[in-house]
Amino acid sequence: MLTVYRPGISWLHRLSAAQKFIGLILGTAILLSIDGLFGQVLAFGIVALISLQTRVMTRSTWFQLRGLVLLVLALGLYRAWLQGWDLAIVATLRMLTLILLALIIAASTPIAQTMNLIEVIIKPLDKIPWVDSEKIALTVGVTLRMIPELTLQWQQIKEAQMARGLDRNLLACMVPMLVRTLKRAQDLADAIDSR
Amino acid sequence: MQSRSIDLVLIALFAALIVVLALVPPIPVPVMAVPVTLQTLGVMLAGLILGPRRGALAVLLYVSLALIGLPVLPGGRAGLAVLMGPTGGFLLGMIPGAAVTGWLGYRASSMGKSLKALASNVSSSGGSSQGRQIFKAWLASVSGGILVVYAFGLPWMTWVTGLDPVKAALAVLVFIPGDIVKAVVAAVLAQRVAQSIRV
Repeated sequence: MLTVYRPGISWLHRLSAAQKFIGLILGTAILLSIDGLFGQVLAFGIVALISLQTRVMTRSTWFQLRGLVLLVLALGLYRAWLQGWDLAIVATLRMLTLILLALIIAASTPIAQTMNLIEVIIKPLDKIPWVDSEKIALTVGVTLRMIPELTLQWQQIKEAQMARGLDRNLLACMVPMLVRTLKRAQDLADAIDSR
Repeated sequence: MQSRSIDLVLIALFAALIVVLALVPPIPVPVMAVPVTLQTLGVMLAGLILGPRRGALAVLLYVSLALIGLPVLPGGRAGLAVLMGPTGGFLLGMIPGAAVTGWLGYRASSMGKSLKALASNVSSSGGSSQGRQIFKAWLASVSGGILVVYAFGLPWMTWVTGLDPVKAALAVLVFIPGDIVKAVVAAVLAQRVAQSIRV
């Protein structure tokens, strides 16, 4: 499965996940407090420079990001039309910087590290009576395992319904999809219980 | 509260189901120009089929996967970047959206009975008239899957972009017809699935 993670050896990759997420929170707070155009241009420049210097900004990263950037630019134009260019440029630039900052952090942190960080963060939640971090981990594991299985199941159902000329009928595809998913849930639960 | 493994598995599988629905190429809808994915259909179904608590947890799990950087959002997007963007509120709003859908529509779709039947291998008898059940489930999907989601999405959008709320509402208006259609599909599906699961 595709991830946004891009392997690398830059200083950004070597920072721990916790350090990077604290950095993200601080960076967001700073960006939201800057109101001037100069400050926003500077912030964007710094983040853009980091993204290039650490080589997390690749062609495929850009491909994933493209839609979001276009949406932000379109909103910026809409805003310029409503409130004038000055405000629109500052707001659009701030949003682009935030997105870029979040991206370079996601792209330089492997999923496993992020999961470990989350496990550490949710560990204290065990003190709350109805939270069990092990069960959360199990549930996440089952989800990740089942995504490819359910994708395959969807393709099989679509092919079967195509043979009947029903592949464009959403109900004809979704009913077996749901029924099979619920049956699968029962089988999995039985397997977990009998272990 | 003791959660059984069937609950955990249902939550996990519905989170996975929402991922699949968000990623598969959408079934083309000729009348609508805007891209319609099945992501919100999955959210409505989670509420209708699993009920408020498990439904919201399944969506919470899905959103969490997206935020830690798995490309599970429509178009393979992922990560905190989306949350920071103008549509982040719609993503977060799906969690209470599933809860409200489930709270209003779980019993209407008679899914509660059927799931119990699934768990204990006892057949369930059908509820009140089908039309009324579907209508109630539709109302629940519209309230949770549309009203609640937009109630989070729009203020977020105005806050992030600084747009005037009315103008922001106009900008997302194109997605409403597709969402209403998806609510109909979700309601009919929940009803049919409730009927066909009599193990």
